[in-house]
Amino acid sequence: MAVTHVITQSCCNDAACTAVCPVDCIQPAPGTPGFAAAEMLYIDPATCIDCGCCVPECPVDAIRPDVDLPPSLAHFAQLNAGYFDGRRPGPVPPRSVRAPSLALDRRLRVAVVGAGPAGLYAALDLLETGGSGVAVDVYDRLPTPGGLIRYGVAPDHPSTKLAAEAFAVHARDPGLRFRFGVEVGTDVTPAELARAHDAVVYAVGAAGARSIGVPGEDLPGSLPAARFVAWYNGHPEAGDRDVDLSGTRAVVIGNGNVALDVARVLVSDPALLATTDMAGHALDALGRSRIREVLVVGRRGPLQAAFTTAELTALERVPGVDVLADREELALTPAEQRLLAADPVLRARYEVLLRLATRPPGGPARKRIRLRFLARPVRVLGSDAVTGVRLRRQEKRDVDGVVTFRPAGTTSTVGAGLVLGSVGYLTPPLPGLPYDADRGVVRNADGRVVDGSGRAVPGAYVVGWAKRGPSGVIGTNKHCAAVTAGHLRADAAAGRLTPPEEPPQWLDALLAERCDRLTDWAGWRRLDRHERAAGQAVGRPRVKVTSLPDIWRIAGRAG
Amino acid sequence: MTARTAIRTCPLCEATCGLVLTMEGDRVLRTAGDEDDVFSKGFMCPKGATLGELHHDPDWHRRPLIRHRGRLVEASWDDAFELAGHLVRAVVEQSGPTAMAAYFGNPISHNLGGLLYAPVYLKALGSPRLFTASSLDQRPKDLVNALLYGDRFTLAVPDLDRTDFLVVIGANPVESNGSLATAPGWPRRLRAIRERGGRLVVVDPVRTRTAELADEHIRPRVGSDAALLASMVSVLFDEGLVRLGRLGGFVTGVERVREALADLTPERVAGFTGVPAESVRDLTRRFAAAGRACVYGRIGTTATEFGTLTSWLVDLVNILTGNLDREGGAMFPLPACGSPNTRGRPGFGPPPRLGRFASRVRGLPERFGELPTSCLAEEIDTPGDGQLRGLLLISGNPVVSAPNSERTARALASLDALVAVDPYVNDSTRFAHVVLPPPGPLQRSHYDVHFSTWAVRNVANYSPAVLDLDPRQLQEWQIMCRLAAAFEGRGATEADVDRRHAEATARAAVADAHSPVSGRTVEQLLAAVAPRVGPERLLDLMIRSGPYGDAFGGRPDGLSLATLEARPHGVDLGPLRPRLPEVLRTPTGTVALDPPLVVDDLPRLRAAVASRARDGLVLVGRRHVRSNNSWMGNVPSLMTGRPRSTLWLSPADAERLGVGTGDLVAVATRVSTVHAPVEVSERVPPGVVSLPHGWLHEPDGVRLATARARPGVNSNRLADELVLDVPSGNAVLNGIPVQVTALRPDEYEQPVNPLTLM
Repeated sequence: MAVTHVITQSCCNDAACTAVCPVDCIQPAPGTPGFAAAEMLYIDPATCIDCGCCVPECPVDAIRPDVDLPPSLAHFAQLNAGYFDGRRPGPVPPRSVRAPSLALDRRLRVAVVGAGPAGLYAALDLLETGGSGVAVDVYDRLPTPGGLIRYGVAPDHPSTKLAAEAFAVHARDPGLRFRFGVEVGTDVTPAELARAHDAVVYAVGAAGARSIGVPGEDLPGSLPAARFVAWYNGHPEAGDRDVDLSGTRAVVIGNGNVALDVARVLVSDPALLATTDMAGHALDALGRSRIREVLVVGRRGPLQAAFTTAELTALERVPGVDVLADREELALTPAEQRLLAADPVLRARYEVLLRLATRPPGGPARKRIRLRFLARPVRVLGSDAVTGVRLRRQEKRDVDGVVTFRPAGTTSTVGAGLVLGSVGYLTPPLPGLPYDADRGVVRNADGRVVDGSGRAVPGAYVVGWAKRGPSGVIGTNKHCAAVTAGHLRADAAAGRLTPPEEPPQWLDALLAERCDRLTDWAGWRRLDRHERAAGQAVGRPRVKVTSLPDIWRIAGRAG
Repeated sequence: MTARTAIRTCPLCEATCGLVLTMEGDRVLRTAGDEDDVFSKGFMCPKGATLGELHHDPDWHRRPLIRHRGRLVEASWDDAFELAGHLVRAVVEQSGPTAMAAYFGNPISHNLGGLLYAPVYLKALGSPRLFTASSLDQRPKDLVNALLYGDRFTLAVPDLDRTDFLVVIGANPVESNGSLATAPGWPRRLRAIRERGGRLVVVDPVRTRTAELADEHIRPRVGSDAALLASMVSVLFDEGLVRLGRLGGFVTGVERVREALADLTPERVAGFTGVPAESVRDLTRRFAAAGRACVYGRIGTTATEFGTLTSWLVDLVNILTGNLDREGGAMFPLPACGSPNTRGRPGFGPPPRLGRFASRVRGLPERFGELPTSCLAEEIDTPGDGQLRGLLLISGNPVVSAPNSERTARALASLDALVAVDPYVNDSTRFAHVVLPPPGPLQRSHYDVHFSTWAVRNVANYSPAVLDLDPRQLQEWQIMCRLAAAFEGRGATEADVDRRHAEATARAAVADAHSPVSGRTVEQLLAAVAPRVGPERLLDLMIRSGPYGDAFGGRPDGLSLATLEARPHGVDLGPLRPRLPEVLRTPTGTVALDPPLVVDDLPRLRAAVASRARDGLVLVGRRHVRSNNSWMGNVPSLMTGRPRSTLWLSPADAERLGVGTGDLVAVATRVSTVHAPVEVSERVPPGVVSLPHGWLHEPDGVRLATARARPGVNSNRLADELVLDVPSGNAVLNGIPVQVTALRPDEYEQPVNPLTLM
């Protein structure tokens, strides 16, 4: 029996799989038109030869033989096949193995600021292409690597967190050093970093949340979803103060994947969450939660929603929860119908929504997530604390064959004890670096940091969300980092980088003086082992240590 | 340019998959499995998609290389053959023909021209010492085949498509595509066993991808397969489960086997194998009752300390349960040509060629005219009479394939004459004086003379070359004819040597009283195959005088090469059929189950069982579907992705050593120490570590740009050439005791590979 492989839920778009596929059946591949915007990658069942080579390449365990798909992932077979929609495969592109290609007469010293996926991808790209000609120091203000893998990915998506393991494989590269506990901008300035390195790559992410911009959003009970995520993931700076979950309804403003994450977490069975690595204080609070219903509110229609099909179908499969949509809000304009006909991925997503809209709601014992479209918040209600949200309905119609939206007259009020704003992230300005306030990113041209007049700042680069804004999934950063690293290499080869003025010891001494806490990969490994051991004892993947003093104590100082 | 389609059998491994190549000019745009192939029915693996890449590999030489002022430089064919002849004749003149050796690597058995023309240069050399990759691999099985059935290639293969109970022991065909049992699409065929209600049991210490397809996975201690199988045999006798059926008329020595194995009960060996006695008894009972059942063993049962005993016991379990030569059991193929068991008197043959001479240094006995490859280096580096001074290296890379790589490398570097037929300057051929590159895989025709004799279905499939030779290339058979002429030194032409070889082939056919062409003349046969020359002439002769052949008019409906040429998807000759007793070529016309050479090795096993299991870590190999022994590491599409040359370490051992994935460790044996990156894996049990083989490609002088960009750890630097499977002389490449120690990061920058010879 011929078997095919299927990409499922946790696909991270890093496309590690495409490079090993002998028949190029995984699409869209990097370099093809659809890649940048792809929700996930898909395997063409008509071309797949069942060799399984892609399986171990996937850092998040997303690829399965179709014969072994668990029921919870079975629908991905159709989703994969649907993407190809009868298309015939073209020529298989040639593959290449990159040999170290930097030919400088000195070792290039690069600092990477931020140990999240973007920074680590950048470090690994530089090391892979530079071989022994490159030394990379990765800085992070936290004592833990992984960035949003540790503090952003939802605890009930353990496969996605496996991406961290893929980085760990390379952590002992002799050209790579980790300096955890250094906050760039506070402990050391960008200018100081530049003096000790040929180049500095900023991978600082987007730690700020965009505000929903309506009156009342600062009321107690209203907070950015990002802060809620950091809280349940045990981010040491998010604190362990309880979020008020005493109301029966929560409203999430925005409908990207983060919105779905927080909605799902809010109504999931606490017993299931207790098998994840969710922070202990969040588990306690959610165990006492009275929330029965979560509204996920999007301003535009179902085709414009920012969530992915994979996340939508994951929502559908949360035990004990009904996911509902309103048939009326799913109506399409003629332009939208044309859009739908042309895009099998969009079609698959819309079909899920239609199914949700026609499903009879379960009994009162079941919790609910309601997906609302065409509604924008106009005010968060309440005096001392949140009591609800006022929503205004939006209308849509085709103008010159393109769907457009505008506010309608009717408003409605929804009672709620919790409002989470999930309308995007932005990178806060970093002292000493040009900032693009419109986009909320470090000002850059395709990864080269530029000043207000568009001139490149020599030796300064940016990757990840700080470069392109909060878009894509974990693996998207790999290709983003590769582009920036390519510019860095080109600049090095063209002599556009200034050699460091100071030796590495100069910066080491500076940091030893200014940072009272400094640790490295070995320290993280001590913490990691500690957390895993604690988890093993209670049947969880790990028990996160959430207070900084405890983390520092366990990790110890860099040796 | 317009795209065209070419259909051919993949020549890279034993699976013989049909491929459909979409081509534009000499470029392969896309490769697909041939759905119409009579045998592979659309299956293919990643290696099959690389024929175009191999053809265009810039490191695949098109012109000969000769050593000039210490460096290999391009030369004309005439100069290369002249130098080869000169160097080799000098060795023979000074030290006699036994100062020359030939080493055959595995790819020759996948190569129509290379395989059929080996005799011409061996004959021209007199009688060189012969070494092959077989004694690093399957020699124990060869030996058992010869002792039981009268010919080393008379192999009983699992009747995969009809068996209801398959026990796979020490084999990982999902990665390897199968070996010593040619079956394109093992994964499909294994799944089909379960789909038709049968049972798949995998016996392997490692949780391989094959094990993941199984109903049951039994994980014995490394190196205990012989004891495990012996205990199954003892259960068959003990519980009265022996059912010889029609085999009763053909086998002898049953009682002697019972006595020899009676003490090796599951209870007795459980401490050694780690498998509870009751589960062995249970498995044995179910196997015996299954009706259509088969044990299939591979590299994990052969390249080990007790390889011969294990190989023998695999056949014993099949025979004693009546599953040999039975549908769904282990059966003997009937190929269209090339098998010794379709020639000569049915049922009878001479005793096997064993121990007629011994190696000079260690006194190891020859097997089928070959000496163990484990003694190749010592035969070169030990001074004295008969010291090897010249080597003909045919598609072989013993520096990577043979145990104790460092010694092998030093030995090859010291030779007076090293002539290689190889497309690459690799870890071994970098020491050559002459390198003669054969054409690429798309430039030569293909017929699996060898592997059709081990196929789980009788098929015949011929593929013509897809691309022409460049003006200055030679076919492999032409290289071999001209080498023979150069060694002879008497001015013969390529055509002379080719014609003599065809005459010899025809002569053997007409001289065989049991051949359908018996009584014809050599001239008649050669006239009938004219104007073919080269391997096509030989193949046509062999097929037409073979078991399905047209017998040159004697059987008008029979096969000829022309029939195969007209059927690009192959000719299906049907499922395997019972062949006992005619398949035998033994002196007695029976199967003696108790060959002394094997039974006398039992005390060694008993001693191991008595000493119980070793403490410490043992190293086993591992397969990956994107690799092919010691070559194909220069194909970019097979070298992308995460590092595969890693040391698998169980989580418990990793914890004990304080290392994690990505850390470097030192792995040491008597022979050497290597530094390998760790990959913590639950696939290996505590106490077992695993390294894949075939890696290195790093030292200076190796001209493999892609492979050098992705070097790996050569596991054979750790293998000990002094440790052998005693009866067969096979190398022990699985179950090597090793010491593993964590390296501090400041130790990392030491060269991973200190083998910096030349």
